[in-house]
Amino acid sequence: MILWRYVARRLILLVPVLLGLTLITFTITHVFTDPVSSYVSGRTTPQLLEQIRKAYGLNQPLPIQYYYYMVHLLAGDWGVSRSQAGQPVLTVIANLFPATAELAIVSILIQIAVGIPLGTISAVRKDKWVDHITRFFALSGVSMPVFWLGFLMQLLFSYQFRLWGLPSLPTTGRVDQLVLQAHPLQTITGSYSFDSLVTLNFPVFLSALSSIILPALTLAFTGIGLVTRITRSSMLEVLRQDYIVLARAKGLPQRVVIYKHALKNAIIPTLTIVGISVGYTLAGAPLVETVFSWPGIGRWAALAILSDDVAGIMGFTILVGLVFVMVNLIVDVAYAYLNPRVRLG
Amino acid sequence: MRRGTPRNKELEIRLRELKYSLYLLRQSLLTKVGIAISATVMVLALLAPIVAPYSPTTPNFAVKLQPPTFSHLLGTDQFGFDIFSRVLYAYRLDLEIAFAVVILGAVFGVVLGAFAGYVGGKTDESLMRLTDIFFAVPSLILALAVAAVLGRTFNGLVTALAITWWPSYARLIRGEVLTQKGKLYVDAAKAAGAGSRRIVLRHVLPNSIYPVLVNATLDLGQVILAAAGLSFLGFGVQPGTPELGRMVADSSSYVFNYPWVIAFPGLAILVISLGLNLLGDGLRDILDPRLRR
Repeated sequence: MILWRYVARRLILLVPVLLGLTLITFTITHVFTDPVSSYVSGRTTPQLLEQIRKAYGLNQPLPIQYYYYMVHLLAGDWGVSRSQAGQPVLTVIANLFPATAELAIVSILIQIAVGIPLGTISAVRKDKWVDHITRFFALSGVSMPVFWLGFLMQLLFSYQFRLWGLPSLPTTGRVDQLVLQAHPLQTITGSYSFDSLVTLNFPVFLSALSSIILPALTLAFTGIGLVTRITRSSMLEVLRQDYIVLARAKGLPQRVVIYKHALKNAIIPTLTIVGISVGYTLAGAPLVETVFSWPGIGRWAALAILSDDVAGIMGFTILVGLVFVMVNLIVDVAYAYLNPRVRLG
Repeated sequence: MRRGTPRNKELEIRLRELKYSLYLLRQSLLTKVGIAISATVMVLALLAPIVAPYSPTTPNFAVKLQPPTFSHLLGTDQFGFDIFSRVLYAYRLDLEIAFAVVILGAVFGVVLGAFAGYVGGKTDESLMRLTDIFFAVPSLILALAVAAVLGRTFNGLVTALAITWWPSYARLIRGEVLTQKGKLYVDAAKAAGAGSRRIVLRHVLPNSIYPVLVNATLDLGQVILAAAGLSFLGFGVQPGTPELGRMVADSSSYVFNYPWVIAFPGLAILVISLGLNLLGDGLRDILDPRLRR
């Protein structure tokens, strides 16, 4: 009951944040620059510019312009994306977002699957060499230029592996188009690996899986560092507590103490860092998707930059803000559920 | 005499503090590594015109795409540029961006945060809601959005990053001011007749400056990463400029056959960013009394 009230309150608190976000994109597009400038070419006459201004309400005072801006946004008119042949921004997002969502989800799963065990081992073997190496590795995660790491991954796992006669991984795209043509895929969620698995289309599944490994691993690198660091420190905290001493004193094996007793409590703070890590993952998307030619919204944003596609970049920004805010809301609610002490806070 | 004694005492305490901090510093290997890396890179960047063996802007096609040798320590790229020389000049540029962004962001954030924290009430509330909005989008993405309309120039890049990098300072200093405001020494200063401005500037700010320093050090590393990332995508400097992210982008098509052309510029980003992060982490442990052992 109280949890529901907490969720409702958090949802209401989202409104000013999301309004503020649109206020920022509005300021960027209407105050920093003249929105008409995107219509200007060498042959645009001043009279025509005035007409455009009038037609779009750009001769009105700024608060009124903001009102129109919000009306358009809420009605689903996010403008057209120049870098995508003038398609509506929302159509572009609908087409490209599944690819990014798939990449981000796999990347987050990798972060959890690698970061939690690493952090645990590091805490259990505190100040041993495993710990030192892990801590250094984790710190290098937040210092890593992921676009560079992506090229190095391609160099090793694709180019060098092929030279050495080992099975090499693809470096571009989401799936081998020839495989996809031979085994047509029924679209359910838009995620190639998920859809092909559910419809038992194994050739496409294998191709999609091998295509996603390198970009997902690259994108996961920073997050692995974050998850490892937080798991280590919360594990150290938990291992000092009385109930762990008791579990050890009654003769339980180390494995049971760590993985059954300690990890359950140590993992709760890790959950909150996953929310932050989603932010890093989304921020890394334009870089990693560009390196791996991954046809998602990140690569779209990168292309939009090069063709001064302001509507595209703003659409991308608002979408990332929405996703980030929603993920953090879910994380907070899950945290409140798992840790009843914060529920009323 | 009566005025002199407490001054000496204060100095003595400060000195003891400093000695203890230096002792803690000597104990921490990773912090020392961080200092060594950051200092070396900064000195090399500063001395680039003297240290760099070749010009960063005059191509020499006779020696293009050569692997590392003694005459070209990190090899040469597709234009015959000496990569070592270009990395040094690129460090100069990237550190310039990072310092400009962090100083702009920190000063703006500290002034705003201290003001809001001290005044309190509606001013404080609205500033905090404003920072909430900035935290609703990852900084790199927000910087990308701002840079998109400021144009793909050096100044556009610095401005965009500075606009997105101030809120953490505002929050940090506001929290500190709120903590310090309730302390006895502030009441004492007030009772002694000090005005609000004097209290904030002379008493509260000096006592809350360490966390800002730590945050700024960590941010230098993050800003270098962000700036390199944005330049990689095409913001900031023109293609061909010695900037680390730009160098990776410009040479990326040569990665398979001539790996050193992007391996070293990218490694250079990792090294300085890691050095600053190690330094920042270490400083936090040393300067934060709560973390002292």
